[in-house]
Amino acid sequence: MNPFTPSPPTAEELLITRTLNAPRPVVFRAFAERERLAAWWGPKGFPLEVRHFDFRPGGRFHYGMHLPDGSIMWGKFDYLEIEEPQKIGFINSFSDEAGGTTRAPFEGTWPLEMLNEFTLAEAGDTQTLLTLRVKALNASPDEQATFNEGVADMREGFNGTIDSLVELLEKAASNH
Amino acid sequence: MRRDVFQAIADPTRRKILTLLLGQTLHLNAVVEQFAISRPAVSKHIKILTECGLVNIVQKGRERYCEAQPGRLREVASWLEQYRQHWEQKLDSLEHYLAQLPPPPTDDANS
Repeated sequence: MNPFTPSPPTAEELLITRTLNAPRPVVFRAFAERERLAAWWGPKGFPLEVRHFDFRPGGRFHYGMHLPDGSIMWGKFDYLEIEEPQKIGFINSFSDEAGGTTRAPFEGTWPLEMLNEFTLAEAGDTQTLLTLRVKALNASPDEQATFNEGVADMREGFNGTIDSLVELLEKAASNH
Repeated sequence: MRRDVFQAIADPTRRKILTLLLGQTLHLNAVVEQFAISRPAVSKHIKILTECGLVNIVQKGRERYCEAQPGRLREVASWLEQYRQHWEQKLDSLEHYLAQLPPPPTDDANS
């Protein structure tokens, strides 16, 4: 078997980093305040419907994105841990108008819930290093989601080897 | 009910089974031998993998072989790329939002 490029050494599935041109408290407020979040979270040119916004552990952000075809795609953040000004953790999932957890409304295999963790670090006085880590959660579909500060411990994150599995697969397929 | 594939691949034993089957079809016994846990326990894991289409059992006479289903595994990986793109767009939008905020007030004593 050919050698393959190993996945990054962390357990997370997805890692995105950005350097933002704003001080950390300003960036944090963009997540923490309803009007500010609504200003950038919605799809461009379409109003974002905010059904519920409660920025605290156990709280929820329930939103509807108006799509060009007139339909609304609902989603939510169920907040886990929040440490001002450096950390915001939540579970993102697709939702419906009533605020329940649903599957992705489009084709493809999507996890029911995605654990998102933002960390904000100061980069000088005027900039912020924003890091996002995402992993799929393996909660079973009929589990009732009751979110409190302890829930993150109850759910096992997927220790991301999907990428390495796929790479191995593609290397193996190319040998045939 | 179709089993949740993310739940299926979250288990380390099942991930190891998938890794064993990449690029090769193995006799069921050959898979079982790789693990210290009991045969019924391994079979249960394989059953979970077949239930969500990640593994196929192929019967040849009396013998049973396991093979991984690559297409399904690729499907499972693709959400990540889409979600990444979704977030990259959102973060672009955040950058634009931050750029149009009024600048912080300057200290009048220094101007």
